[in-house]
Amino acid sequence: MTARVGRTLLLILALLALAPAAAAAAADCRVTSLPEIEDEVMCPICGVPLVNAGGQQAENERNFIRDLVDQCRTERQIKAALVDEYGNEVLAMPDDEGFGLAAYLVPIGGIALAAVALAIGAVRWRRARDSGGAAPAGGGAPQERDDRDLDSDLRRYDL
Amino acid sequence: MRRKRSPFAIPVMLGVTALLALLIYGVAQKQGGDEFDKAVASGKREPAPVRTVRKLGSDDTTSLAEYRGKVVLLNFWASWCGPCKDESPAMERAYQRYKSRGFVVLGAGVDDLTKDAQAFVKRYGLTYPIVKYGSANATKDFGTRYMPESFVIDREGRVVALRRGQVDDKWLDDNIAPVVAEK
Repeated sequence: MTARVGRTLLLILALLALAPAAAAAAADCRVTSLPEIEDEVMCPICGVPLVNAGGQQAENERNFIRDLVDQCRTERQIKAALVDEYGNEVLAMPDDEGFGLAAYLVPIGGIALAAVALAIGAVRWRRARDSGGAAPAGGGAPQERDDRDLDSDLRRYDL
Repeated sequence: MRRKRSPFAIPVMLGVTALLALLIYGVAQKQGGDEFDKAVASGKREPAPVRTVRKLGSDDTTSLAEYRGKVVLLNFWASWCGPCKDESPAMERAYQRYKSRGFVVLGAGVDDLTKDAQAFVKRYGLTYPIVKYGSANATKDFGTRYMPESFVIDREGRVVALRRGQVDDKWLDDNIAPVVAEK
């Protein structure tokens, strides 16, 4: 009887000794954290990013994320789990259809328009430069004129 | 003398026009979502959107198409919504009262963690099928803005009646019994 109690006590002590090690091992395997995720996802019920959300529902969502972080899930896996729970709106990303598509198309359109504007500007600048390149009568390009003036000055002062 | 136009004028004008058109389109689209309200008010029956959704706590999916031939009360709810708690017993009573006549309540949980939704179902003893329905999809499909909202759908999958807010036994009887009686 005493031996059995002793064995049980030993077992409990061994488990207690191992518990912190197991917790530390779990903590070590974490690859992300709540702060890293909560500013990239929405609290769908509150309609604001989770990082700015208060209230019980936001806290439930944070606890859900914390649990997954402790299970060593990656940021990507946690976001996928959130989408499973709440739908795509939790990602705070615009829809890829309907009006939401504009969020993706507008920047592309902006870049395309800027490229067109630059191309037009470049063509016009080149034309202006080419037409300005024809020397007016009796003149010549400024560099040529300077060279001529310099040569004549040097000749004049040549001793 | 004719003023020379800047090379950037045409692209900028095009961009501004496109943004304005987009803004008008977006505003017009945001104002939608009351098509069912208008149709029901004028006695028309518009087909309910059919979206494949997951059953609560399962990887199995279902859609309104699977309930064709039955009268469906599609009820959008959430565990955190007070009126949803208040109306749930009436939902269960209606289900028990009419289910033998080809009627089903389809509970559509919105913006809830699965475990919270499951706790709600258990707490209120709901025995009808429950699915998970994202709030953005609910808004897109049925123009939902509040919780709870309920839609009565006839055997051919068309919306017959709706309520944007809490329902009670009287509303359920008034709107389900006649549709169930239709052949």
